[in-house]
Amino acid sequence: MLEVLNLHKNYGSFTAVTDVSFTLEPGDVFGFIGSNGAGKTTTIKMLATLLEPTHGTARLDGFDITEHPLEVRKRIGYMPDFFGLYDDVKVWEYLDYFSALYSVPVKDRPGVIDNVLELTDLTFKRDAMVASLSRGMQQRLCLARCLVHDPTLLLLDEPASGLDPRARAELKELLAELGRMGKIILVSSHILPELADFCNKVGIIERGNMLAFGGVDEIARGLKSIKVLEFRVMDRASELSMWLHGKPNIQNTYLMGATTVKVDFDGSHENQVELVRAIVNAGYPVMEVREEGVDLEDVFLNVTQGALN
Amino acid sequence: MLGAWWQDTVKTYRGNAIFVRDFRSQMRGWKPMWFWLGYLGLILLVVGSFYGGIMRRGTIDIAELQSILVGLFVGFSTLLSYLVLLVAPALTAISIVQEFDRKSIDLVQSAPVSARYLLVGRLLSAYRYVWILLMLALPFAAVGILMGGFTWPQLLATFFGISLQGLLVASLGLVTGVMTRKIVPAVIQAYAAFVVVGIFTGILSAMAAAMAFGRGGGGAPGFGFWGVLTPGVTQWAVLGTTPLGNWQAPNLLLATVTTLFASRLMMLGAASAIAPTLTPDIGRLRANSLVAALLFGLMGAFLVASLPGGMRGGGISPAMIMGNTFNTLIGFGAITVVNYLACWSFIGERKYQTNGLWNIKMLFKGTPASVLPFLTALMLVATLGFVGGVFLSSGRVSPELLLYIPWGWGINFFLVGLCWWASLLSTGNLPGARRLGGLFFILVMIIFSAVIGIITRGEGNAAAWAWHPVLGAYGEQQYGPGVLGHGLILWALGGILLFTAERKRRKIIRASYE
Ligand SMILES: Nc1ncnc2c1ncn2[C@@H]1O[C@H](COP(=O)(O)OP(=O)(O)O)[C@@H](O)[C@H]1O
Ligand SMILES: [Mg+2]
Repeated sequence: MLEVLNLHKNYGSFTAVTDVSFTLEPGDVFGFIGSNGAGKTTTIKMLATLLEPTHGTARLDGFDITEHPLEVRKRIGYMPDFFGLYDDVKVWEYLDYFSALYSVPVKDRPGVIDNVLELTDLTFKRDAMVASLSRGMQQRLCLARCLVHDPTLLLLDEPASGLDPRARAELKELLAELGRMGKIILVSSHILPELADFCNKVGIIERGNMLAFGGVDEIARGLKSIKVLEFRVMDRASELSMWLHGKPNIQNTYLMGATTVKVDFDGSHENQVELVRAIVNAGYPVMEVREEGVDLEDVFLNVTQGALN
Repeated sequence: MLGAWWQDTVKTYRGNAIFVRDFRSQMRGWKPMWFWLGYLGLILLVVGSFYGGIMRRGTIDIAELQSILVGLFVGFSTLLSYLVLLVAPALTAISIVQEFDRKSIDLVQSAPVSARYLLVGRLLSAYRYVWILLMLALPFAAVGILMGGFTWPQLLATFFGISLQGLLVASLGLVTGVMTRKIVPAVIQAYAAFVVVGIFTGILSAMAAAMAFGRGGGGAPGFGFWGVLTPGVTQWAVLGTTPLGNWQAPNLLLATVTTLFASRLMMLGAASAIAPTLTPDIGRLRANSLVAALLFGLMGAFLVASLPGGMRGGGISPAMIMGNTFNTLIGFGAITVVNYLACWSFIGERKYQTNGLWNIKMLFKGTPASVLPFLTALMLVATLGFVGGVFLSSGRVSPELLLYIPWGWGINFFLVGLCWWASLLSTGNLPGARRLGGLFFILVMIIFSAVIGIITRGEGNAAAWAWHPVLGAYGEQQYGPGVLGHGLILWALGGILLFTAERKRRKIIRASYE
C-alpha cells in the first residue's frame, strides 16, 4: 500500500507541489494527470527518493521515504521521463547490471532476465546492443529494467510520450497485465485519453495542487456542474430557457436554437428526475431529454479550468 | 545501524555491478585495442631506443651497463607515472559526468545502493585499468631485470607506488566529476587539482631530501613517504623508510595508508555531493574527516619534528618550520577543502538558513546550519593533533608556534566568508555555489599573487611576498604584517565577508516575505 501524506516541495520560494495526499492499494493502476509543469515529475521523484520533500512524506508498505529510503527503493521500479540507457552494453548485460544493483542473487539472474524479456516481448533482442533498439523497444527495455526485482510499486513518468500508436497500445496492454499481477502502478501523463481506458484511479494535479483524486466514475460523479442536460421541445425553447434559469442545481442555461436548451446541471439523479417532472408539469412540450456523456477529457478540462480561473 | 553499514560495505566491494559493467564496456570493440597498441608502441619506442643504444655499444662493462639500466628504470617508471596520472582521473571524471549526461544516475540512485557504491565501483574500475596498463608494460621492464639493472622487488614496489598515485588521482577525478556537468572541465579540474597536490607533495619530498642531504652524506637520499606519491621520485622512495618518532616506518606502508584514507575522504565527499537526499554518507564523511584531521595533524607534526636538524641554522627556527607545516595542513589542506565543498546541502535551507547559522546538534548532518560548527570542529581537532604531535615528539611547544594558529584558522574563516557569498549569489543551485566558491578562492589567490608580482616586477622582493596570505608563510618574518598580523587580516576580511553576506541574506528573506 502506498500512502502519500501531505507531500510538499518548494524550489526556493517557488512551490512545485502543494500538500499532495492520496492512497493506493495493490492492483491499482493510477493515472496521474496534469499539464506540463503541473508537478507530476517532482511528485514522482520524491516518491522515488530522488528528491527530498520540503515537508510531508509517503509510506510504501509502512516504510517511510525519508526515513528508510533504501527499503523503499527495494520496492519500487522507477521509470523516468527519459531513458537513461547505457548504450555501450547489450540488452541482457543491461538487465544483468540492474539485477545486480537490486541484489538479485547471481544464480537467479538468468531466469529473471529471461522472464522480464519475455514479459516485455524483447526475447529476440537479448544479445543486441542497447543502442540498436528502436524507441519503442528501448521503452520496453526500461520497463523490463524496472521489473527485475519484482517491485510492489511502479512509478512511470510519461511512459507513453514519443511512442507511435502501436507501441503505445502494447505498452497499455503490458501495464494492464502488471496491474492484474497485483502491483501498484502510477502512470503520469499530460494527455488524458492515453490513460482513460486502463486506469482504475485518477488524480488530477495542476500547479502543484491535487484537484481531484478517486475512481474514474467517482470523480466524474463527484464533480459539480459537469453534467450537461439537453432538452428538446416542440417549441417555446426560449421560454423554457428563462423558466429554467435560477432553478435549483442549474448552473447555466444555453439556448441552442428554436427547439433546444442545454443546462449545466449539478444535482443528483433524484434531482434530475424531479427537474424533468417539473418541466413536464409546467406544460412544456418536451420531446427528448438527453444527458451528454461525461468523459474524462471533460472532467480534466473542467477541473483544471477551475484552478486556472 | 552498524549491521546495515556492514551489509552495505560487503555489497559495495563484493561483485560491485558497476565494476562488472565497466569491464564489459572497457573491453568491448576495437577502441581499447587501438589504445593499448598505441600505448605499447610508445613504451616500445622509449625502451627500444634505450636497449638498442646498449646493443650498438657492443662491448660494455658491467658497472656501466647497470648504471645505464638504472637510468632506464628511472625514466621508464617516470613515464608510466605520468601516463597513469593522465589516464586515471580522466577515467573516473568522464564516467561520472557521463552518468549525469545520460541521466542514468537517477536510475542507479533509485536502486537500493548508496552513492558510495556507485563511486567505489568507478574507482575500482579505474584502479583495475591502471593495473592493466602497468601489466602491459611489465615485459619491457622485465628485460632490464634479466640484464641485472634492477630487481623484482624494486620493480613491483615501484609499480605498486604508481598504482597508488593512480588511485589518488582517480578519486580526485570523482570529486571533480561531480562538481561539473561537462567532461572537459571535469578532466581539466582533476589535472589542476593534481598539480596542486603534486606541488605540495613535491615540496615536501624536496624538503625531506634537502634535510637528509644537510645531515651530511648519509648515503642514498632519504625520501619521505610523500616521494612514493610523487612522479619521478617514486622509484627512489618505495623501498625507503620515514622516521615517525623513533620508528622507521616503511614508505610504501605510509603511502598506502595515506592514499586509502585520502581517496576514501574524496569518495565520501563526492558521495555526499551527489546523494539525492540526506544520506548516511554525509555523517560518515564528517566522522571520517574528523579522524583524518587528527591523524594528519599528528602525522604532520611527527614527520616534520623527526626530520634531521639540517635546516635549523640560517635564521629559520623550528617553530617557523612547524608553523608553516601547520598552515599548510590546516590552511589549505585538501581535507578542509573537500569537506567544505561537501558541506552544503538542502537547496532551500542553504539560502534561508531555516535551521539557523550555527547548530551544533546537526554536526553530522549536511545542513548549512552545521557548516560552521563542523569546520570549527575539524580545525580544532587538526590543531590539537598537530600541537599534540609537536609536544609528543619534541617534549615542548614553542610559544612562537602558537602564533601561527590564528593564521591557519584565518584562511579557513576567509574561505567560509567567500563560500557564504557564493551560496547567496547562486540562488538555490548547489553545484553552482560550489563552483563559485572555488572560483572566488582561486581568483583571490591569483589577485594577491598578481598584485605582489606587479609590485615586485618579478624580482625576488621578500618584503612584498611576505604580505601574501598563504605564501607569505614561507617568507622572512621581519617583513610584512608578521605571523599574528596575517591572522588578524584574514580574520578581519573573513568577518567582513560573513557580515555582509549575512546582511544580504536577511534582505533576500525579507524581500521574499513582501
Ligand atoms: N530543479 C528545479 N528548480 C526549480 N524549479 C523546478 C525544478 N524542477 C522543476 N521545477 C518547476 O516545478 C514545476 C513542476 O515541474 P515538474 O514536476 O517537472 O512538472 P511536470 O512533470 O508535471 O511537467 C515546474 O514549474 C518547473 O518549472
Ligand atoms: Mg514531467
